[in-house]
Amino acid sequence: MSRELTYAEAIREAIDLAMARDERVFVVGEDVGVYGGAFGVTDGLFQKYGAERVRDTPISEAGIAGVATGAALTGMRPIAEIQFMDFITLSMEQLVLQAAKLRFMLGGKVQVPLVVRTPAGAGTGAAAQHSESLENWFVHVPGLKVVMPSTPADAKGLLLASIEDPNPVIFVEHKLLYRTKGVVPEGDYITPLSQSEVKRSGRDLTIVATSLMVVRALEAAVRLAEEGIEVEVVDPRTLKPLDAEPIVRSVCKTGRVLIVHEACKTGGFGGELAAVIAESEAFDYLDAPIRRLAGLDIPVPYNRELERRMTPQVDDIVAAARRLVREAR
Amino acid sequence: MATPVIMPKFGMAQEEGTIIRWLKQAGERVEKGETILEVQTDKIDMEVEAPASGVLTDVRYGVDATVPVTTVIAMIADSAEASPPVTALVAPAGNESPIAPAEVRISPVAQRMAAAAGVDLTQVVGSGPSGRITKSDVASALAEAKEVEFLQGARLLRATPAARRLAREHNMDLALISGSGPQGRIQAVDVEQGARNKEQQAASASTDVQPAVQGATPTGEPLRGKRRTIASRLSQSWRDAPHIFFTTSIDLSRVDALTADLASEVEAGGGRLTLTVWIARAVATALQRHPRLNAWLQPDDDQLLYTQHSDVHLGIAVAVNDGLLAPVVQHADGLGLTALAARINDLSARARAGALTPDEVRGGTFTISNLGMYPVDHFTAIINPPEVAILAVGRAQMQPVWNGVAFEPQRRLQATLSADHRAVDGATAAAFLAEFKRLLEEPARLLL
Amino acid sequence: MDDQFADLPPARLQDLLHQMMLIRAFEEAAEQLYLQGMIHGTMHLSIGQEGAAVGACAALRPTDYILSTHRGHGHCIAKGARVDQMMAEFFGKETGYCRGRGGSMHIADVSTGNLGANGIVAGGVPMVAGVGLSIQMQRQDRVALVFFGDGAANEGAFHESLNMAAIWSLPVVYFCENNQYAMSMAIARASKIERLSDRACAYGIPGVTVDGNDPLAVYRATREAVERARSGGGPTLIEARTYRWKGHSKSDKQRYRTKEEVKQWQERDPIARLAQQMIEASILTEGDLATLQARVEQEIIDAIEFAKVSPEPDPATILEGVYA
Repeated sequence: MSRELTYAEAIREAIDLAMARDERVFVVGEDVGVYGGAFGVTDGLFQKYGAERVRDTPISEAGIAGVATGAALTGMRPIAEIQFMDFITLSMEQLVLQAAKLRFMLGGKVQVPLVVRTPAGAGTGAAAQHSESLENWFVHVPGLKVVMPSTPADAKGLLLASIEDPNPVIFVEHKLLYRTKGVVPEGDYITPLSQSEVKRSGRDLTIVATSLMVVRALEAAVRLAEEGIEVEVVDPRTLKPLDAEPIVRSVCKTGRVLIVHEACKTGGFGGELAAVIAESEAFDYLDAPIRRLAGLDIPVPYNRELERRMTPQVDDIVAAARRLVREAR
Repeated sequence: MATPVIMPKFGMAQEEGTIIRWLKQAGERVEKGETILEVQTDKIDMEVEAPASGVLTDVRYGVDATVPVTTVIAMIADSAEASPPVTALVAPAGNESPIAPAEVRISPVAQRMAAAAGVDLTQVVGSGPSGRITKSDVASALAEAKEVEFLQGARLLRATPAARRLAREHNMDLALISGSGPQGRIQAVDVEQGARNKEQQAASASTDVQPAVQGATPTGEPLRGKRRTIASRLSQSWRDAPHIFFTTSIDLSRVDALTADLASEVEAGGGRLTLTVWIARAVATALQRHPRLNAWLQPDDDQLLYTQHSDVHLGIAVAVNDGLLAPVVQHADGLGLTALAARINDLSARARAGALTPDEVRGGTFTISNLGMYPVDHFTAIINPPEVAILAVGRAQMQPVWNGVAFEPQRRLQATLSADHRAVDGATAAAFLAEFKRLLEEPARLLL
Repeated sequence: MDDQFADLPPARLQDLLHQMMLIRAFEEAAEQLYLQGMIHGTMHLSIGQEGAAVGACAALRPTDYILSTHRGHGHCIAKGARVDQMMAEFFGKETGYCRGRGGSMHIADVSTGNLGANGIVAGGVPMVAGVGLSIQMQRQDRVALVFFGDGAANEGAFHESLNMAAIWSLPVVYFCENNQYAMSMAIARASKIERLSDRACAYGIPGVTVDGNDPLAVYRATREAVERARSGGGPTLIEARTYRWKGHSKSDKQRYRTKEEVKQWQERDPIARLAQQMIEASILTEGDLATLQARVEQEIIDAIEFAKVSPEPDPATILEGVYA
């Protein structure tokens, strides 16, 4: 059975299922308890599982990451919440130097099965320190997995998979997606990590998009279809380790690719995707340059219009796609 | 002391050299760096300079002698008297030849390198002491030349990876495909179109019919088929051949008079005695007298091959639906007005109908392009490669001409000759044009 | 104190003495091998600090956890690791504790509860709260002890971790080896307070300062903290004052301290001290000591031999261990 859930509800359902079936799973973070999380994602879990397993912490992002790492190292399955992805900068040492590397440094003799859930993204008027998309920093770290779901169903399945995964996973949610609705299967299921998905099929152009941009790309695809441009939208879902094959296959088919993400363009995941495509057999099928549409290289501005312009909108995707297809015809 | 003169090694692969002539004779005083003999290698004639100042002695090989490189061929003694026995002096020469002309300030290695690679030393700036040209100067000059060559080469074509792959798969030369993408970028569709054209051409070898241009899109349309071939050939010509232009004005009074007399007779042969026929006849005749313009210039490896033709095969440009064709009147120089008229009539009709055979559009040695039917006074045409000249003919019109007493009306036309300056000098072209003008103004000569 | 040997039977005392001697011999050998180019990278020697490592670990059970520091050879041995597998790790061999992937700075023997040395100052401090929480949530009869230096006490993470362990009454012991210098920075220049253990009061937990060169004093203090932790009394901050005889790492010119100062501390050698105490109490003879020394030397010779003959990691396995 399936029914419509919001993205936030789907995440909550995943946590609930995991906690119900596995005593080792617990939630730890700032205001995750009685408050229900800054975005209400953990709402109700405190009442159901109590203060021990839905654990409020002091404002201690390094401490939260350390608690999650230490607990994961010794048999628990923590789900840490970093309230805004911006704040994860304060957790970097424990995540990047400890959680990511411990297994390797210790000769493969330990596991660090932790999940860090964190909301990213602009569009809420929260300005430069509460709107960042920092996923690619983590993509660069061997030992970490980076997951970015775009739909409620994926959010649930991918979170359940992340909790089951024996490695540290950075699970990047998007604030603007929390209220989006979608059909979500009931019960326990996983959406495997490292499995890119073709969200819409088309022959003229491949758009590889992440997180909120998948939703916008799909919207753009509908409009482009009215103009006779058939867009294929591929969602990597797991940025690392990346499942490149469906992306490469799609580009081989369409010969053109537009990469869309919200994070700043320079040093963003789009560069990695572009390189993966250029290095692959898809190179020989490229009939136009690989193009990226991404956030401007600026901190996220407060002003509504400036903030809107900073990140790719549906119109921008339509225009970029149209340009790419036209110039390649 | 005496210094040996050896047969220099100018090129990597050179094993021997042949003495063409000695510029200095035994006993003569030579200065270091002065040319003392000329040598022919398998590629090029080279001068050998005195490695030292002194008196040339002991010249061991005469003209036409072929000598292995590094062999001692003579000695330069401090003075003629002091020349020591030869045998004691023949030292084994290494790769370094002792040529070091001080005046030009160039290292021996640099000189040999430059000679072998054909680098013009006057264009090389020396970076050594006192501007001495060193090996690395020649190397960078060479690299620069290679870079230019590279930039002009096919690698610089704008083409997508997909287009390049398809071209590989279809064994097609990207240089012959024009791109429809931004800035002429060749894309997959262009190569696919090219491949289809190639197939169709192969399938219908007996006709030159090209596939029709497909439906237009509002935002610009790639050149296809014949149009693309034209575009590619003309760009090549314009790029490679330095065009020079010569225009003359021709009095048609006598041609007009003769046409009136002969028209019906010519028509009986199946053609019409048009101005084009007269022009073709005049060109064919003028070319026989100025055959330098009745020729081809073609790249052949790194050289240009100039071929002069004894027969005149005259291309007559004809506007057709989707471009221009130049059917060739074979042996035009052997055809009288009637035969010429009939032949031109036939070729033009079949060109418009798309019924020419490939052979009928090949092998021209000179082309005439006549836009006399339009209000075009004169124009310049781009040479149809590998030909070296083309004649562009404007419309005939009445003009007032000063006859010394008064203005009199005269029907005249202007013709402009385009010539490839690599093969044709201005004087040659002018002489041809003058002959052409004289023939039309005194057309009776064309009846001879 | 009535019982100068802290209720430890002579056999246990001899074990502690043996461990301290083994640590010293191991580190001296490692240093020599480093100077001979047999071991690459760098290493941080704890010679002079053996009393703290051995005293602290003596108060732990094999099932208890420790988290260690970049100066962690002593912790590793004191918690029960084998010197041959340690030496193999130093040689970068496949038989090393970390299969040659970690080296000196990440030496760990998970089987004896050592969750790893750490290249980051205070790197283990936030994690110990997680280990403590894990023990608490799993209702295990365990304690987690984290070693860290005086330098780490000034990291921000120190505060977050102690605060969390305190509010949650985690079974954790914070064991600060105050060896007087954070690389070149003397603790007196880096902290306004005289006793680092005074910081405990900021978290509402007990804090104690002991002579780190007295293994029995260290043992007593740690035993008390461990018992408190095990019985649900929450964390304790222990400051063990000690001294590293060698430089910070292999590239230290030691311009920041005098030879006299080093000499003064060397006169307070924890190994000599315990041996002397035991001889005076007639539970150890000079002969026993010589036997112990010979045993330790043989253990090190065997360890080096094991390391030398062990295979290098297969380059084909280079990607292993990044992900589980």
